[in-house]
Amino acid sequence: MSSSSSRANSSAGAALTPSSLPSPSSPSFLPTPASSSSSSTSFSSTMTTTTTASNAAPLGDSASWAVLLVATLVKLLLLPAYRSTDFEVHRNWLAITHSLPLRQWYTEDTSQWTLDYPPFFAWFEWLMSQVAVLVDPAIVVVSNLEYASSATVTFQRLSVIVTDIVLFYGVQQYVNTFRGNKDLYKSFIVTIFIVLNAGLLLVDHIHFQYNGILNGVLLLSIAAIQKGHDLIGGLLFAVLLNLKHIYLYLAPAYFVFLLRHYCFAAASSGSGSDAASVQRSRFVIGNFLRLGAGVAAVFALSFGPFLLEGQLGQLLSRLFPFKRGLCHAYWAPNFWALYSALDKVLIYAGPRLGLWPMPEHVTASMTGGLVGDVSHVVLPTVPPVATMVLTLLFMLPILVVLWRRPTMPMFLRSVVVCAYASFLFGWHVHEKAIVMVVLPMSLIAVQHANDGKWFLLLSASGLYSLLPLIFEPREFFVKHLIVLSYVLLVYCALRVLFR
Amino acid sequence: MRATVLVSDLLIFFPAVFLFCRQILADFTRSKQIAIAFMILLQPGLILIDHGHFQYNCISLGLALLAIVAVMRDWDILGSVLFCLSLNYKQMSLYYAPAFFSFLLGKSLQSAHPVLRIAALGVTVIATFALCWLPFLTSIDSVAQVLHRIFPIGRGLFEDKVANVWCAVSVLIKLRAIFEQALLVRISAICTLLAILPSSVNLALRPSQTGFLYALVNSSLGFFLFSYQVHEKSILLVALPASLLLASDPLNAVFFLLLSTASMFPLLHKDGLAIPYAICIVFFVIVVLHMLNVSLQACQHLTTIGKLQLAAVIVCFSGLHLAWYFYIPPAHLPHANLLLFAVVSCASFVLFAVYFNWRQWQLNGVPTSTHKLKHS
Repeated sequence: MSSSSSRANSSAGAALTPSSLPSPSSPSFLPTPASSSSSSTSFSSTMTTTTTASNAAPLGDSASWAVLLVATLVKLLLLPAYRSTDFEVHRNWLAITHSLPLRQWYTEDTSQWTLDYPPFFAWFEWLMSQVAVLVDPAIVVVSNLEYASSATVTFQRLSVIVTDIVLFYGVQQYVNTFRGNKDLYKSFIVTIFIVLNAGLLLVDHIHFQYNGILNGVLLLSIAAIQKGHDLIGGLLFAVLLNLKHIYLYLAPAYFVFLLRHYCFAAASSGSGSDAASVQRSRFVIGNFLRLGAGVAAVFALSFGPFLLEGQLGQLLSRLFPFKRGLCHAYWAPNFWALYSALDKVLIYAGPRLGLWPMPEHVTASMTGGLVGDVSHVVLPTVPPVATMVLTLLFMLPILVVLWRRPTMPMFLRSVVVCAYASFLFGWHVHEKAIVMVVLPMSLIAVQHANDGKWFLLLSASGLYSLLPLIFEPREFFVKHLIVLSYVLLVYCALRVLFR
Repeated sequence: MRATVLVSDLLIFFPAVFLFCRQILADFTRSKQIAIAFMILLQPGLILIDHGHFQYNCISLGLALLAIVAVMRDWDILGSVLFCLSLNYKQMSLYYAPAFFSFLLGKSLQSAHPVLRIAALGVTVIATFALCWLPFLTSIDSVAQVLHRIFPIGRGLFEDKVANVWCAVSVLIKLRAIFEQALLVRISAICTLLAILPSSVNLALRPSQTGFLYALVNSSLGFFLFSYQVHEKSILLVALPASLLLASDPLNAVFFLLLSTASMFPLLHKDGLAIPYAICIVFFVIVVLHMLNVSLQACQHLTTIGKLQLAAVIVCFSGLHLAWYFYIPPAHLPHANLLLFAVVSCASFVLFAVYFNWRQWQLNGVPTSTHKLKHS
């Protein structure tokens, strides 16, 4: 009976039939890992086409732009979210660079947030201040501390969103070096991992920083090296160092690689990823001089004006404030956090176990939420030099391997390991620095299933460690959902890739 | 408090949508079911009002949706209970009552024992009501007081500017000044009745699955256009069944959802939600374009009417918003922009009402022995 009624039903006009949905007339723009038929069961394959996506354009194909659009929409939704003191920091720097002459940039201290990034970033702020003054002239008045009109907030937040285009451009340049059809899915995944990175959303667009553009320059440098233009890559890295000197964490990897690959290369023209290990090559003095001169020129451009004013010492003390203490006010989850925690435990455990007497001046020296030079009570106090030694020690193994095998994959890995070692053992590390480890690792994650697993673990734990940065109840759901969806995204994408 | 809206949304509305897509659209592929569920959940109006403006519509709409699923699956008793719960949660669900009533009546009349079924349904409804109203049934006065609060006739024909026929007519003929309140109540009641009568009669005589969905749209739209003291947020009640029609009539459903959200823009702008409004709409459009595999080539295959519709929607949308931001109304008409929104939205809703009524009449009645909406 049901079949006859269904036949009668079929003559009815508008039943809810699948055929009434517009049929896919043209391939949708998302690439697919393998050509699968349109009626697949898993949801991720809904976004596949009946043909392989061999017709995607190399630069900025529509899928990547769609990802950028979605990311921008999410960032726009975060416009009214919590802003940390970093917001006022950048407003202050806009004011300083706009209203004061060059020689006062690094001596000005009306606000407690003094300029402590290298000169190129100061110039970047100066550029933005030219627009800021049109939006709201009160932004660039130095004495307007804590000024945060709605125009200011909108302008600064939009500036972060707009400068993220550099990150997009960097990713595009990098994935353009992938070749072949099957790599299109990999390049799409890398684009998603970086453009939609939850860490950047939390740190840049809520807490407020400019890591998007900085990591964009890093990616451009890596892309240049990938294409075989080592000199340009090196120069871009020098520029990056002069934008934010935290990238010194990566300098050893760059130094070793460029020395070995560029200055010793025997005129090999292949891209870095195909280069076999270069044995017994000559030392090409010309390349070495070229690289050295280029880097020196970049630094001269950056520091020059301040050298002329005789402010080198002041600049260096601003850039490297060692008085700030071993751990930041919020402990970065690194080795020194464990070390200090152990110290605290031993303070109380020792007397109870009868090992040593209770020390006299036990204050909340490191857990007080303040920034300052502190000393440990039971365990030996750690001087800055010790942190540097430990960091270099842990970088050494991979740098040795890199020296012997200066290939592109090895270079990427050494970048990640150097960043990681500096994060774990560095002096006064911010917890935000974990983004510097996770982001380059996105590039490695698509290479092998094993790398993918490590990336999943690292990004999940790294993002989890960023959650305390945003502590207002209003953002409670937002931050957890951002992190959860990103981890889920990573998991699903990698699972489809490494099926 | 926002968490409570989110949680109730997750607990009641989300499962209702998934149930609908799994049960009623069972003949679609799994991925299409998820796609449609995704689109229903992403309707910008509901997100913006519940989580932005702050209301708990998700509970009443979720319960109503569960009732719709139950009734379409021929679990009439359960459906009646759920609908009564939805009604007693928020009296707005009264907008759906004619459709439910006609559908259940039609099905009962066509069943083997009509009187028995009608009696059973009647008992169910009365019992559910009694259970919900138990604390207040102490005296006639308390019942009257509750009713008086729920149906605030004293507030007037309409408040502010709403995309209602009465508001549109009042632009030219000042209804509230000319007629007295009791008369206006009667006029609006009669007009509402006339508006919902065709679709209800059609549904009672020829009950069908898709007809039921169309009838829901028609009855709620009729109430919205002609009823007394309508709020602009009530368009959400019409938007829900319209979104359920995404599977069978995607183009019109999408246009309706977009225009209904736009009709609420003045309210959202007042709440400072202009940017989230834009973003939610863009998100929704992107998802719809992707899920329905729309591209430029597909647009060329649209009928002439389809192309006209698309052009009209784009013109209305952009015109309204441009006017809002750039047109400075003259001093003697300070609310010109609000009125513009209300009148244009009302005109489009009237057109949609005509269209959806026509669609419902076009369907042939089929026996409701199967609950699934089948392939043709």
